[in-house]
Amino acid sequence: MDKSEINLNEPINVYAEKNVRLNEQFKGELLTSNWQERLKNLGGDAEGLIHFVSLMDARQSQEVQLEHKHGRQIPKLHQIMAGDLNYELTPEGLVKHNTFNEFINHTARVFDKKTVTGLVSYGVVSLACGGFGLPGVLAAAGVLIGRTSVEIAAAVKGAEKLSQNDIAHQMSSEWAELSEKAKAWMSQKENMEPEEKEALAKEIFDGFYHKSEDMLRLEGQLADHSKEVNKAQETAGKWGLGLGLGAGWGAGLFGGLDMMTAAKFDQDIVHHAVRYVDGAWSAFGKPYLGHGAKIMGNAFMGMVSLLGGFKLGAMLSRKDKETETILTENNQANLLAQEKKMELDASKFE
Amino acid sequence: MFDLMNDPELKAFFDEDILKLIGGDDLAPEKKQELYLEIGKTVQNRVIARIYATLSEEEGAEFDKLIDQDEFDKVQEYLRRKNLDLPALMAAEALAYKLEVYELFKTAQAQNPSN
Repeated sequence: MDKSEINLNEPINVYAEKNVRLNEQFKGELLTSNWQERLKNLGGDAEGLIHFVSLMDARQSQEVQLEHKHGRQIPKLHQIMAGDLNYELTPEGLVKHNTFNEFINHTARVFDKKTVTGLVSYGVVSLACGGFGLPGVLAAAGVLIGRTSVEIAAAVKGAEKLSQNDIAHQMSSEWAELSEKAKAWMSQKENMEPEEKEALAKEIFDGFYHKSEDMLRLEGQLADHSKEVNKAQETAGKWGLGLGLGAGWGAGLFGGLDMMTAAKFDQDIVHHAVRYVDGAWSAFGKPYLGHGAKIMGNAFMGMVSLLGGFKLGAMLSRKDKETETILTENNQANLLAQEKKMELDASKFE
Repeated sequence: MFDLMNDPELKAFFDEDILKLIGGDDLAPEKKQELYLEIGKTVQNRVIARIYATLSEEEGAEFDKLIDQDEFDKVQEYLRRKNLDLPALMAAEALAYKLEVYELFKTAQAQNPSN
């Protein structure tokens, strides 16, 4: 091919917002032959070859790994491509989803029967321990809020993961379509009319272009998306923590006030209400046994409401940590495999 | 998984035009021209995606500003400071692209042994 056939004045990049222009000379050589020479000029040579072979290896493994959507390593490039919750790629461009609706839908999925049963149980136990009075209500509210905030945070994260799977599937489908078109090309190219052949070639290379366009758009949106998810989790966490703390302190305060009121009334009431004397409750203390349990319940639930959210949060966080560890190990294994392959390739070029 | 090509195949891969490699050498010159431009845009997008994937969020924002100023020299200088060699990135991405296309058609050919 004669390089002069390429119109270098043609705007080669359609991205107005991220318009990194190609070096004019390179632009011409980019599309044509003699890559080995080109690499030598760049000081690459065998090293460059190995680099791109390993790159290709990674790319191919990405396609394979996309088939295993759950719990498998998805390399960085596809994480980027699959990382967007709030945007959908359409022929018209990137469309923002209704984040609120998405959030509600995913939250509804997370709040399943088991979770609701758990929440109700927490509430009933808290109320019972709190003596069904205002302190008990506050204590129950503290626990419920702590738990709810953790669930909301999990829902946001769950929504993100679902979205990643969806987009990963979309990318995988795109590759499958390209494969089908390439098969059609290879099996029919000798018999096709020139127009048909041109149209099919255009479809295939357009397919590659759209893949790259998707990659770039999603890359551009990734940072914003991460910020949104983090912000949502952080807000849910802050509200949960704030309200949980408030309710917990309220419950504790009521417990304390109860105790002080009783103490003013008669110190012995408090003393006997919470203490077992000489192997049996004193006659004086017995009538106030319920009151003492209430005081203790309030104080206990105050603590529970303060700590419950933290505890649940820590459990979820530990689970995330485990997943992260697995992904990191997979990444390391993949890198090691690539390094070994690069060494083998290097020996071939020596 | 990708198998390393034998030497003649490797040489052909490097030296042949991408359209010739896939059996599209008989396409009309103006159609070829369109495809080359599409290929160029694709490679460029991949280069940009790689640059952003390498830069941190803050660096990406800085890079955006430079691009908005539309001064290619500054962009190149910035990338150089970040140890990102633009021509080398382009070469790597273009080669990876060429190989990806080549492998796609080779696999398709293998699945149609009658041709």
